[in-house]
Amino acid sequence: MWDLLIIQPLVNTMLLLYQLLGNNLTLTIIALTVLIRLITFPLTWQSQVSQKKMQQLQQSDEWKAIQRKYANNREALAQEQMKLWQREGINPFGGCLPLLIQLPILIGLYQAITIAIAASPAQLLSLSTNLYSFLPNVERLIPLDNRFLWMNLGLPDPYFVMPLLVVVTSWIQSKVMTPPATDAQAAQMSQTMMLTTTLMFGYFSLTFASGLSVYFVVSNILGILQYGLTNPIDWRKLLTLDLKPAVAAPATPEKSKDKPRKKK
Amino acid sequence: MKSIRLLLLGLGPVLFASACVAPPPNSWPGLSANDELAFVAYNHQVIAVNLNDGKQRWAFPPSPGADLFFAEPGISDEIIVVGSEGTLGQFHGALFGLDPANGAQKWCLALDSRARDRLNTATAPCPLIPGGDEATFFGLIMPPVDNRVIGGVVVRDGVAYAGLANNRVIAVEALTGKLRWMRDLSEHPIWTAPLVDETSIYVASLDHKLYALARSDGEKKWEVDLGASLGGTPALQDGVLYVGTFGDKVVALRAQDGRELWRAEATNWVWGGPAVRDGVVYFADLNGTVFAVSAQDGRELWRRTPGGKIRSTPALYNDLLFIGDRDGSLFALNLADGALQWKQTIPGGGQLYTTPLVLPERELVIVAVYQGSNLLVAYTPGGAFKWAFAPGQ
Repeated sequence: MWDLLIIQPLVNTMLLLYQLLGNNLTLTIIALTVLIRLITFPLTWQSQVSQKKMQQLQQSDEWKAIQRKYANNREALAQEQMKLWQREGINPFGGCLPLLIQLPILIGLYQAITIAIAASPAQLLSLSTNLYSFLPNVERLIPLDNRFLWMNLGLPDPYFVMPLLVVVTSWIQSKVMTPPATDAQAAQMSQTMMLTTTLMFGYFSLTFASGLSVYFVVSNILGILQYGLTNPIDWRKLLTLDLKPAVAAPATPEKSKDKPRKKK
Repeated sequence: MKSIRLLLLGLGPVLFASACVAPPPNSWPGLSANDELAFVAYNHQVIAVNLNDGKQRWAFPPSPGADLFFAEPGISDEIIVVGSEGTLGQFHGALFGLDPANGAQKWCLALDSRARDRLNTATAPCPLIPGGDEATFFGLIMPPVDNRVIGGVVVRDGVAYAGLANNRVIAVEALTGKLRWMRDLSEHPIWTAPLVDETSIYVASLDHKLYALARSDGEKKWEVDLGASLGGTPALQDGVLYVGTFGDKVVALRAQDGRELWRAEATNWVWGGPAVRDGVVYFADLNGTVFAVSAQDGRELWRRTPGGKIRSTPALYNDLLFIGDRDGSLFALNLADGALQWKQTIPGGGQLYTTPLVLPERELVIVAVYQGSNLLVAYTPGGAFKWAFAPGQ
C-alpha cells in the first residue's frame, strides 16, 4: 500500500522529470522537491498560520494573565486555555496535524530518491518493481546518470561540501522555525532537539548518497522560504550564533496577587 | 501543544533513521561450489558449507567484519577468489584469495587506498592494486570511486576475472593476486560476472553495452550497444552469445564480431542470463515468465509463469529447468514444454534471486536465500529436501 500510494507515484514522476530535464539527476531531485513542497504548501501554510496565531495569543496579556492566575492549578489552566483557543478560533493541533500529514510524503520522497539512484542491486530491483509499465522509454533511462560536478550522487560527497551545506541549512531552518519557548525547560529541550536534528542530518549526509544531500539542502532552503512567507525572519539572530535558546515570556505566578484570592 | 511540536521535530529524524539504519542487504547471495563445498557470499562473510550435510566448514572472516560480500566466488582446485563491496555506504572493495580447504587468506588486493588502509595489516598484507585510486591531500580526500565487486569473479586457467562497479575489468593471477591487466570500459557500473572462453572475455554492463575483450591483455575487441542495461552474464554456445536486457529482450549476437542475429521479446526486464542447450535458449523475466526460444532464430517455443517475479538465470539438468522466484519458491519445469514438474517453498521464508546451483555428481540443487532464516537449502533434482543451512548453526 505504501509503495502503491507513495513510492510509485514519486519514483515515476522522478523518472518523467529526469527525461524532461535532459537526464540530469540533480535538476530532477531539485524539481521533484520543489513540486512536492508546492503540493504540500497549503498544509504547510495552514500549519504556519496556526502556529503564528498561537504565538500571538501566547504573547497577549490575557494569556499571560491566565498563566499567572492558574499557575498552580493545571486543570483550571487547561480549561481557560481551551476557552481562549475556542474564542480566537485556534485549533491547538492546527500546527501539528498538517505536519503529520506531510511527514509520510517527505519520507516517501527520501525513499523514492534512494530507489531511483539505485546504488545497489537490491535498490535497482526495488526500482524495477515500482515502475509504471506505461512510462515511455524507461529502459533507456536506467541506470540514471549519477554524476554531478565532482560528485557521484550515489556516493557520499568526497569533499564534504554537501554535508557542510546540509548542516548549515538544517541549522538555519531549525533556528528559524523553532518557536520561542515559554519556559526555560522547554527552551533547553528545543535547543537540544535543534542540535540533534542538525547533527543527524549532517551524519546522514556524510554517510549516504550525496543525491540525498541535494534533497536535504533544497528541502531546507524551501522550508525556510515558506516559513518566511508567513513569518518575518530575524536574520541577525542567526548571525549572532546565540546558542542560548529564546524564551518568549515568563510564566511564573505573581504570588502576591494570587495568594490572597485563593484564601477568599 | 509545544511538546507535540517538539515531538514532531524529533520524529522526522527518527523516522529517517529507521529508514536508513537497518536497510535490507545490498544484494542477494553469491553462490558457487566445488566437489565438496558450497561457497556462499552474503553480507559480512563468505561461508563454506559441506555439501554432504549442510554444516558450516569455515567462514571468512571467521567473525563477521565490516566488509560486505555478495559477489559470486570464483573457484579453482587450489584457490577461491572472492570480491568485497567495501563497507556499508563506502564503496572501497578488495579481492581476496582464500584456501578452499579452510578459508585462510592467501592474498588480498585492495582496489583503492581506502580499502588498503582498512585491510592492510602486518600479518595479512593487502597492497593497493597497481594503478588503483588513491586518496589525496594527506589521505583525507578520496575521489568519488565505486570500487565494489558486485557481479562475481570467474577463475579460469589460473586467472581471476572480475568486473567492477567503477566500470573496470581486471584480471589477476588467482594464486598470488598479482595484477595481469586492468581496463576501463565505460561510464556506468558492471554488475555482472564476466563470461570467459578460450580467447575472449565478454562483459555485460549497465551502460547498455556488451563488450568483448582479449583474455591476454584486456584489449577491447568489440562493443555493442543493446539499448538497455545488461544485468546478467551472457551465455555462449556454438559461437553465438545470448544476453538478456532491461529492455525486455534477449539478444543473440555473433561472438566473433558482436553482430546481432536476432531478438526475442520478453514481458519485462530480463535480469538473469539465458541458459542454452540443444538449440534452445531458456530465460526468465521480472514478470515471472519463463521462455524457451529457438537458438536459431529466437522463435518462441513455449512460455510459462510458474509463480512470482524472477530475477535469476535458469539452471538446467537432464530434462529439467530449475528457477526460483521472489516469493521463495523453487520450480522444476519440463524442458520440452515448460510443464511444472514440482515446486518447493523454501523453509524459513525469503526470496530466491540467486541462480540455483545444480551439482550433477551429487544429485543436488542448491538455492541461496535472500532475507530468509536459512541461507542455503538443498534438494534432490526430484524435489526431495536434503538439508538447510542457517548462519550460526
